[in-house]
Amino acid sequence: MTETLTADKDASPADGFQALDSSDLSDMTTPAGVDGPGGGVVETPAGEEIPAAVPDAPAETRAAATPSGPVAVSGVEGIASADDSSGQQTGEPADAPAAPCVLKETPAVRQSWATRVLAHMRPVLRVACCIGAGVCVASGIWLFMRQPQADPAAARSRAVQEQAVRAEDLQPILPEPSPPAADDHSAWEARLREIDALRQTLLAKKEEILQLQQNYHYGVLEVEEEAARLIKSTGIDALVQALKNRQLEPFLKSIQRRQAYRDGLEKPLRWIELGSEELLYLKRRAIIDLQLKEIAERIDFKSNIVEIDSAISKYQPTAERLAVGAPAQLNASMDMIWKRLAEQAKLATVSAEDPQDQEITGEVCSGHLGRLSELTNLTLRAARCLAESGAMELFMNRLSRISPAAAKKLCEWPGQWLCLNGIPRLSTDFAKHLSGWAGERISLNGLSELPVEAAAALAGWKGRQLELMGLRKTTGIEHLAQWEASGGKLYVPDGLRKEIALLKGTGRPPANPAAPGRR
Amino acid sequence: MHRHRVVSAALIIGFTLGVWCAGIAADDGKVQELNRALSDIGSAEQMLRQKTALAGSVRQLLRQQADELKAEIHEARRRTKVAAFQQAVQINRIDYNLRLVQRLFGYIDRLDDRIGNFRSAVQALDFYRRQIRDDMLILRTLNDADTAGLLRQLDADLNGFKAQAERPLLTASAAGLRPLETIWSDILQGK
Repeated sequence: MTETLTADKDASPADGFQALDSSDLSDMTTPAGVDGPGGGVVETPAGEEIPAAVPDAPAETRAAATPSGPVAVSGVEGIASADDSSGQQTGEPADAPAAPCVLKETPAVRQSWATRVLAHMRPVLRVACCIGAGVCVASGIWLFMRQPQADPAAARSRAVQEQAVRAEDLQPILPEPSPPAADDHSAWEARLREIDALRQTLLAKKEEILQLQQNYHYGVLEVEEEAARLIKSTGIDALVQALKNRQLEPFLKSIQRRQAYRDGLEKPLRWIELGSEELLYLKRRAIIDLQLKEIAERIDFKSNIVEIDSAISKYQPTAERLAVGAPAQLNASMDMIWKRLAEQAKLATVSAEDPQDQEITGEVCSGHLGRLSELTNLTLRAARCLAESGAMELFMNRLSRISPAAAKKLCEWPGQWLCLNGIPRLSTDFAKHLSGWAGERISLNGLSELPVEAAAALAGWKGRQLELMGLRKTTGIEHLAQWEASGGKLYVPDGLRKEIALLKGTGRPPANPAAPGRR
Repeated sequence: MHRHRVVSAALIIGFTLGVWCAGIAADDGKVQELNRALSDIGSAEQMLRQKTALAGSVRQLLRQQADELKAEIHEARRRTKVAAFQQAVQINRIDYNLRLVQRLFGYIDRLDDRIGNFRSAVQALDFYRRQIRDDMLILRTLNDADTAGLLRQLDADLNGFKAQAERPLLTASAAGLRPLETIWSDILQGK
């Protein structure tokens, strides 16, 4: 609170107001240093600071600081403004001559300003204080009333937790969930979907296993090819010798191991087959029964669902259920393997170009086909790598040897142009494989003769263009004419062209109508 | 005395008229009963025909499903080249499909029985309808006919037919199913 003690009533309020600058205003409103250890300062109108009511100051200092005339007392208790217009510090003697004059003039200025402000502020402050007090009381009451349900969300959460706890307590007491009734569509649909999903999983796994089994199968054949050549080149003729050979012994063990895995995969395949068929049966039986539920009685839906649940649990493809068993138990006898290899070695051909062919095969399997045209012997491994190479045209014009397994694998290659101009003879088996090849052009210009059986097989090929420019003999020519008549484009030497024309009886080459089904 | 005669004659005439009117009323009641019986026969017949149609459509559906399963069996047989029953049931698909066909044939046979029963009931109702029409003709002509026995029998049969029609069309049971081997032989013979 501010209280003004006025000594000079004649002082003009306006004069006093004009005499004050902004620093004075801050003095009036800011009780700086009130609680400070130094007791604060009082600033004179001239801007000088004087210590105000310093308790620890000497008695004479306190006496000098205490005005003897009218003073303006700050609203803050304990601060007295003792302005001194003479500019003297509070340390000056109290009986300084200018002091009374100053004390007379300054309160007049302050009093006029403070009086006006306080006169205006007082009712406002009272109202504000009343409102503040009212708000405090109301807030207290509100908080007091709100205390028991301070956080409804938390209360709800607690209730839910309590319910959950109660439910958990009750759970062991509750009976087992019964199978869905016949009219519980959603439960049945869920079961049937579950069967479908599991069956799809099993079938996908079956495909994976078949792929793996085929890989092992080819792996066995590839090693057998190499081993047979090695046996032929080394002249080994007994298993005991073979097992002592550092190169051959790993081949034999590798064949045995891969064969064991290949055969061992039959077990999970059978298990998957059984599971997928049983699941399909249960699903179909359930569908048959469900479609009759409106018009039939005594259909045993409970038994149906129990069997379905049991099958779903039984045929989950876990690692244990898919296990192939101990490979050691599946190992084929080494004697059997040796006998087979010995037979193959008799048919194997050994050439001086084999090392180079192996290098090229290695490159091909690394994705480099640059030296493919130099390959003379196509092994199964090379054929597999080519089939997966992604190339669209294969030119192997020095190729003169190809194993049956390699020929079969090569014809799975999804390219367009197969150029095998180095092949001197075409076996019927190879021709059969070629007839199933899905490409467009075959060049076999190295053939001088085409056996009738091979020509008959080749006539079934659905491709567009067949080059046989090396043919000299007319055997099988009627099949070639037939193939051409079905829409294929046949390239043969002029002599054979005339023969074909004669066969047709027209004196000119047969037309090439686009036959249905030809690519 | 004269007055006494007049009163007596009036009483006799009144009595006669009463008896005659009562007779007419009784005959009208019989006609109404017979008409009501015809209506009941119509309703029961309609219900039986609806049930027959429903059973027939379900039977056709089941037959179609059995044919599809048999086609799968043929396909599996071509693939595996089995002919003997003992070999055939070693093939999972053939074995399971034979069991499903057996189940379907069981349902179809029961539906055939029910359809036969419904048709017999409809024939019986038609027979009743003819009898009732005959009795109505007699009532119109002779003003009298003994319909009580016929209506009693009709009521009993109608109740029986209704009860039969309201029962489920099928009662599942493992009894009476055709042997799997017989089904396999029939499939081989293209039946």
